[in-house]
Formats: sequence, C-alpha cells, structure tokens
Amino acid sequence: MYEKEEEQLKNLYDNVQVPLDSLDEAIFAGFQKATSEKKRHSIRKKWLFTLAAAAVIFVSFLTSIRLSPAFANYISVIPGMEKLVDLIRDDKGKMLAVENDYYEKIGVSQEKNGIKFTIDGVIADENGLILFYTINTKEKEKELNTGEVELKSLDEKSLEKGSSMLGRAFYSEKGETSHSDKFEFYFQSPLEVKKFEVKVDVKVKKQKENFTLQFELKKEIQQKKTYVLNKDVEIKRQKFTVINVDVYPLRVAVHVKMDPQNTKKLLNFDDIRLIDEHGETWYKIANGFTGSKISDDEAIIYLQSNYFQEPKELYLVINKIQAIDKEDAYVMIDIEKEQILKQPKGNKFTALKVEGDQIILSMRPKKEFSFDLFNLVRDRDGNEIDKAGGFLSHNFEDEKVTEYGVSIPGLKDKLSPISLEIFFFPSWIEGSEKIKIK
Amino acid sequence: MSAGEQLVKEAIKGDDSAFLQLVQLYKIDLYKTALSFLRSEEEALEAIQEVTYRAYKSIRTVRDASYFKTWLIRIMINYCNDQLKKKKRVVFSEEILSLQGASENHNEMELKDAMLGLDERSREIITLKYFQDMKIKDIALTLQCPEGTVKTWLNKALKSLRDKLEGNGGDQHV
Repeated sequence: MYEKEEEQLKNLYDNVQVPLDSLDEAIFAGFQKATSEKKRHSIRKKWLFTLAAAAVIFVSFLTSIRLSPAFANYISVIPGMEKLVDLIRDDKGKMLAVENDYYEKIGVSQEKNGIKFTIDGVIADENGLILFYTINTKEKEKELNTGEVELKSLDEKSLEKGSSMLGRAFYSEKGETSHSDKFEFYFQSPLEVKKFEVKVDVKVKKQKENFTLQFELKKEIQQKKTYVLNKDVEIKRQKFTVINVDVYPLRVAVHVKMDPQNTKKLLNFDDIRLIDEHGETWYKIANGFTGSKISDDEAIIYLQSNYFQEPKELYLVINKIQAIDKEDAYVMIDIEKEQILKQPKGNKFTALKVEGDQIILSMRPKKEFSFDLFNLVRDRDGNEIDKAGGFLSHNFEDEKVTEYGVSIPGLKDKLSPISLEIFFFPSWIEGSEKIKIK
Repeated sequence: MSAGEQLVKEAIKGDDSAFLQLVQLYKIDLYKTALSFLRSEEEALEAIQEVTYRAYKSIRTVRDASYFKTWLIRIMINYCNDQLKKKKRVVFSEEILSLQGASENHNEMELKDAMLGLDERSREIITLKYFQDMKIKDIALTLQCPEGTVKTWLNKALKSLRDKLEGNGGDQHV
C-alpha cells in the first residue's frame, strides 16, 4: 500500500556521511559528564574501604577552595609541585602541611612494558599516610585504572590498617601521558613503620601491570596534639559530649558521645568547624573521610587540620546536625509487592522500585542531598543481610527526584518485610554551640 | 546469551568499559536517528552527547538486556522530541510543501521535512521501523503495546506522511 514511501524511507539515511571522530568525542563528553557526577554522588565504586572493626566510615565530596597567594608563590619555586597541589587544593590542613615542608619527596619509580609508576612523595602522621603518585604512559591514554593497592611494612613493626581510599579511574577526553593522584591510608594504632612496600595494579586498555615499589620515610613524624574536653552540649534537647579533640597534621579528629536518653538519633554533624581567634575557619574534610561511627552513640568527626597554624585561641563550633526520631530511624518495605510499609514521619520517600538486586527509593529533597542513606539491612526474621553497596542517582525525567539505592545480592530470595536502618537523612536540628578548645 | 547481552549485564552492574562498548556499537544508529529528527550535524552530535549522559545515568533501568538497543534509541527519540518542542520547529515546512505541490517522486528533502511534520508517535514508529529496521514485534515490545496497535499506528503514520507529501496537509481527517 505504501511501498513507495517505505522504500524511500528505508534508503533515506543509508548514504549519510557519519563524522566518526566528532561522534566519538560527543560520546566521550557525555560519558565524562556522567562519570564526573557519579564520582561526586556514588559511594559505591572507585573508592575501596578496608573497614575498621565495627566502625563505619563515611565520605563526602564537596567543592574545592582557592589557593592563598603565599602558597601559590611557594609552589611556583618548587618544580613539580603544581600537580600535587591540585590534589589537595580542597583541604587547608594538607596544604599547610606542604607549605610547612612536611611533605616528603620520594621519587621512586618502576617501569613495565611502557607504563611507569612513580611514588612522588608522602605526607605521613601517626594516624595516616597519603601517598602521591604519577603514572606515565608512552601513548596518550584516555582511560586508565588503578586496581588493587596494598601497603605493607618492611620493618619488624607492623601496620594496623584502618580505612583507606584507593583505586581510581582516570578519564581524559584528549588523552594524557601523565596521570597523578593519591592513595590515602589511615591506621588504627600510631604509625611506627619507616620502611614500606606498596603494590599496585595499573590497567590501561587490555594491558595490566603489577608494580611493587619500596620507600622509606626519613622525616620525623609530628606528634598529635590532644585536647581533652569532656564538654556537655545540648541542641534542641538532644545531648552529647565532646570527649576530646586530636589535632594531627593530616586531619583533626573530634570524638563525640551521644546521650543514650536522647529522643533523636544524631546521624551526622553537617556543620561543625574550628575557629581561631582571628575568625579563621577549618571545615570538615571536603573530599575524603568525614567521620567514622564507633557505635550508634559514638562517633569521630574529621576536620581539616590547623596543626601548623598554632592559634592562640581555638573554638569548636557546632551548628547543624542531621537527626531523626529514634523510633523513626528505619524504612520497612515489602519487596514482592514493591510497597513501603513504614517510613519516617513526613513521608519523604515517594516511591519504591525493586529492580533485580536493587532496592530503589525515591525522594525529592529540597536541596541536593548526596548521602548514602542506609546502613544495616535486615530480613523478616531480623537477620542481617549483606549489601553490595549503596548508590544514588538523579532521575533524568525529573531532576528534582533523587533515587537512593541499595544493592543486595540475591535480593529475590530474601523474606519481606525488609527493614533498612537509616544512616543519613535530610532532617536536621540546628543550634549555635561554641566550645573553647584552648 | 549473546555477547551484546553480556555487555549490557556488565554495564548495568557498573562496568564503564562495557557501557562504552555498547554505545560504540549503536552510535551510528543513534546518530542517524538524531539526524532524522534534528537535521543538523551539530545538533545531532549534541544529542549523542546528551543521550550518552542520560543512558549512563539510567543504565540501571534497563529491564531486559535483549532490548538495550531500543531502550537507547528511545532515549534518543525522547530527547529529540523535547528539542523539537523547545524550538517549535515542527510545523515549519507545511506551507512550503503544499506550495511545491504533489509529485510522484518525492525527493529526500521533502521526505525529511514531511517526517518533521508528523506527530510524535508517528515519527517514533517510522524511525524504529525504517531507520532502525526493527520488526513490528520488537517495536510492540519497546512501546509496550499490542502488535496490532503498532500496525495501525504505522499505517496511520505512512498515510499522513503520504498526505503531507502530496500536499494534503495534516492528518486530522484520517
């Protein structure tokens, strides 16, 4: 009936010239945009954690801060420092450490089949070690991955590893021959090791090389400064105690304990900062570990360090805490019927989807809320269910909807109702507490 | 399971290189679809970028690995329809077409213009059937409707396309 039209339609785009190069560029640009957002939003991939015993560690990715003129000047006189600074630009404390010559240059490298791995340098304190590295390739590469990373002691002293931030995928549209980044390791007991071995896998296209390098720390490790406070604080009738503040060169650890009598579960200290006598402020770690939870009622919060600043006076200011009524701190769902059975007051979750092994809950937070919401997952009988990870994505049909997901291997066979313990949630208590540290 | 389906599964799990391979596999199809709607190379390339982005963001919503391609093409079609709506360019050629009058062999340009004059559903059906060379059965699955409905829509789409080419105007009197 419409043979003629059909024939024409079929041939219509057969002879189109396809600009393959531009096409690949467009694909890459789209891909890069998506992955760079994912890097900010997803808590699932790329960062590997070795979890400390019972502690749960959380991570945040925020924006970076600017270079101080003095510092810009400082780095301009030392060759090779720019790339290092790019990696710690968002952390005042680490910048101060470099500025105060606490960065130790290493410069050990190994080359295998055209790929060269170099340990540029290290910043280490009692509590942690940041290893700065560069990977060089012969050809310009658009994509490159680091896989397994292992840090070992070569001394008789052993390393008690806590959390670490490793593994990284690099993308560059134009392709680069040099890629720099850092690995972060934190320890459970004070670092005494001086000689290390690091093993790392690097993947470029189909090629995979394993590098083993050794390095030695010569700089003396700066001791932490501890301020014991045991100061009770109350915000909106929720009480907690700031036990102590440990100032390390790499970060400041604030140890807090909640009152078990509180009606609300304090989930996260969103706005907590250090202020000195001049009003200079140090915020939470912007890109890395922001805290670790020892138990429901005890946590350590990490702030950027003022170790090298030596203020005359120092205050801890707490303004805003994520909090939820204790009886409300979970979501209960039926995965077969795809129904939310119970959720916190206010019905913030608008929809539930179950897709394969994934539980996906939608919400319309007023402001962007990039946290992995759930922690423990339990089945009908209260048994803990292992989860593969949490993730977060924005619905592209409706940008205001955020989807919070949990992956659970073998989800189909789990017995409903399933309950998800809330670990982060967009509801807050606010106050303005100022505690004198010194 | 085909190699393609395996790739889709890996991509859903978060394997970036599997995802990129898939987009590579269908980039020409995507490009031609974009071109058929948007008509300019520049805009089609922009569409490819945006669709790659959207596909990556929503890869988890792929329910059936064997329909990955149509899933991808639909994202493209939705994007293109939105773009066209934004530009309100859809109706630009009707008058020109009727001025030109009917002719036995519609040239390419006319055909392309006539495509843009169609309603969204007709354009989508024609794109899937003729540009992507899909079977009625697969289109039905993609659009989640019975095969009979697809056939009816396709006929209607072809009819209104012919009407446009012959200068009879829209399809309001079908």
